[in-house]
Amino acid sequence: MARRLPLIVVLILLGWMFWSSPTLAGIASGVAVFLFGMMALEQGLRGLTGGTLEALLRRSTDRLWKGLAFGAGTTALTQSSTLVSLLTISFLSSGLLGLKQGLGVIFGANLGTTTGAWLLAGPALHFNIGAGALPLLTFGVVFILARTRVLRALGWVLVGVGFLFLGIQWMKEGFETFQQAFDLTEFAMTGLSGLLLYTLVGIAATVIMQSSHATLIIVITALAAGQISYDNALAVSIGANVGTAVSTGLAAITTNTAGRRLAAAHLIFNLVTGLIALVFIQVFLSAVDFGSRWLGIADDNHALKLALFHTLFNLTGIVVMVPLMGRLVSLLEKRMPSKPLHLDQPKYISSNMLETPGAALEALRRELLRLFRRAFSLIAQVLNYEAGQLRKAESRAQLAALPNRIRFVDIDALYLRSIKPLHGLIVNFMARLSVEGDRARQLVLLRVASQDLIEAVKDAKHLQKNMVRYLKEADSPMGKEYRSMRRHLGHLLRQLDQLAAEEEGNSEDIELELAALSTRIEENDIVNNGRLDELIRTNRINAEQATSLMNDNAYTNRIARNLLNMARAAFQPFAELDPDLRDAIVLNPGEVRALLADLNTPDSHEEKTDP
Amino acid sequence: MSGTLQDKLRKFLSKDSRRQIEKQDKLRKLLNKMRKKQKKLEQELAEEADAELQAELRKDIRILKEQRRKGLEHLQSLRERAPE
Repeated sequence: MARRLPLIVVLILLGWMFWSSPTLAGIASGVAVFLFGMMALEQGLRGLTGGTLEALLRRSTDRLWKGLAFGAGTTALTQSSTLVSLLTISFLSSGLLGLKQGLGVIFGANLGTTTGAWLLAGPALHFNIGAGALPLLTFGVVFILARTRVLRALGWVLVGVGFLFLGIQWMKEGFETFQQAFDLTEFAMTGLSGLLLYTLVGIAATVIMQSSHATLIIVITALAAGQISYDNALAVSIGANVGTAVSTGLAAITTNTAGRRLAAAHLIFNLVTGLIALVFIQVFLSAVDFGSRWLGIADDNHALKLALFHTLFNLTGIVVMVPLMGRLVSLLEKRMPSKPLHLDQPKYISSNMLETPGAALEALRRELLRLFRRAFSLIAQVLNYEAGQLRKAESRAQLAALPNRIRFVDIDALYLRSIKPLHGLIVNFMARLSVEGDRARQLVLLRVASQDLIEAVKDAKHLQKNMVRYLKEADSPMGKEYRSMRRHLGHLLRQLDQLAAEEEGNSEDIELELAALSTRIEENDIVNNGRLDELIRTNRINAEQATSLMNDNAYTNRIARNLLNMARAAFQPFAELDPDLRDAIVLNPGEVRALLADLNTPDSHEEKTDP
Repeated sequence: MSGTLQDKLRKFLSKDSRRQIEKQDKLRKLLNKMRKKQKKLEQELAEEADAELQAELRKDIRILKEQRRKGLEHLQSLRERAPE
């Protein structure tokens, strides 16, 4: 009940406004239409620029100035700091962006959002923009009904702008009519108390409406109609700045530590900026007067002066905070440490990422690598390797060495504890991710890769029974074959683990290693390389043992192939994948068999001509 | 602008040509890496005393050579397919 109290208060207040005065109802409707316009605009821009913004953000991470410029530029263009914040949080959570780079983008976005005040105080107030709203809404709706995704997104943008115009017009008219009945400037407060009270009003209004633009448009239209004093309007704009960070903070509660750190940094930045603006308000007022004269803004054009004030104090915030960024990052990492994750908790994927498909797919790929590490550990145990030792094994002898005690592990329990919960989360995330075109192909690749991984784990379970049995008879002919299978799979696992560890591994190195591993699988297939026939012919194994060996050879091959297929899809970012490059060097089964036959001929030791 | 320069510019601006050039560059880099790996394995073979390991290294070298030969053929075909 207590959590719903603000909503109930707002509903009662709105009900009273509609009942008591048509003018107040007009203003309230204007705000509502304006907010709906913001939502429609955001939805349209997401469809229209989502991919472009993500591609731009990927390139804006190497230099601080690029991050700042990206944040400021994109927010100015889209007029949606929420869109940019959401994108940044997604990139941060998926590990594509560091906290420092993320802070640069958010600081820039804060500056970019001030362009909104200029647009609202300039063209929006001086033209009859309500007249432009209706054509925009009409054409927008026609576009929304179109089949093409881009046209639909464009339709939402037009409808968004149309509603924004309509909302502003209604608010303007509302305040102008209101002025004839009431004079709100009677409630104007001067001095420190006025400054603080109206700052709080700005914070509350922005948190309730979830939009600093909405607060600013109310205050700017009220200011133009003479319903609020200039000083009090400035205080509301400071409050709106802090309020927007509070809104982001509330939204970030559901994200992971990286997202929460960014939201905390945003809040700190806006609090410090607001504090500077409050403490040095007189200095800022002088600077605004000076700047207004320089820009040719009339002395009584308080709306534009408010926009200048908004820009100036945000710019000051950046100048003050950028040198402290390193310390801020250290402080946040110290105060908000990453919590150890439970086995059933995802590290990279989260539902708030579903809105940013590029980052979501990269997060998915990294989560899949996490799942691979667990599968690595499980299959290593089946083969009676200690996962840590297998990672460190450098020589053939180390891979071939058997432990003192051969153990049988409960794979079902291990699978249920460490693989299934995470795999379930990954599958669930993939099902909810809506993508098109190239991204849809990438999603299919990752989906198949996750299935390959699970198949490998399940085949490991089938392999375990005979593996444990014959490893205990290590010196028998069957024991030797199982030791060989164990060593080959161990080698493959170790190589894949090393490739997975090199997060930004070179694509050529990965392809080269995967090609070598692929040939080895073919080469070690004892059915194809004639080894099985030889064992039977020389009576070293009986028919029953031959069947077991054949089955387990098939399991081993399937495990190896599934792991390799998974690695091909998940070890490199999608943009780096090049099937042609792979096909150019990978030997097909026929070529490997011919090569092995050639190697087994008596003169095979002679070196062939070097290509 | 001379005809040749125009052609060069057109080729540079053509998405398909750019992709072909990128593919060739990538493959060339990969082949160089294979060559280096082969040299490294040959060095290891020269220093290896164990007969079984020698046989395994010899096999690895042969496979690498075969993969490199295949890659070189592919590079050649890419060059031939490239627009004049």
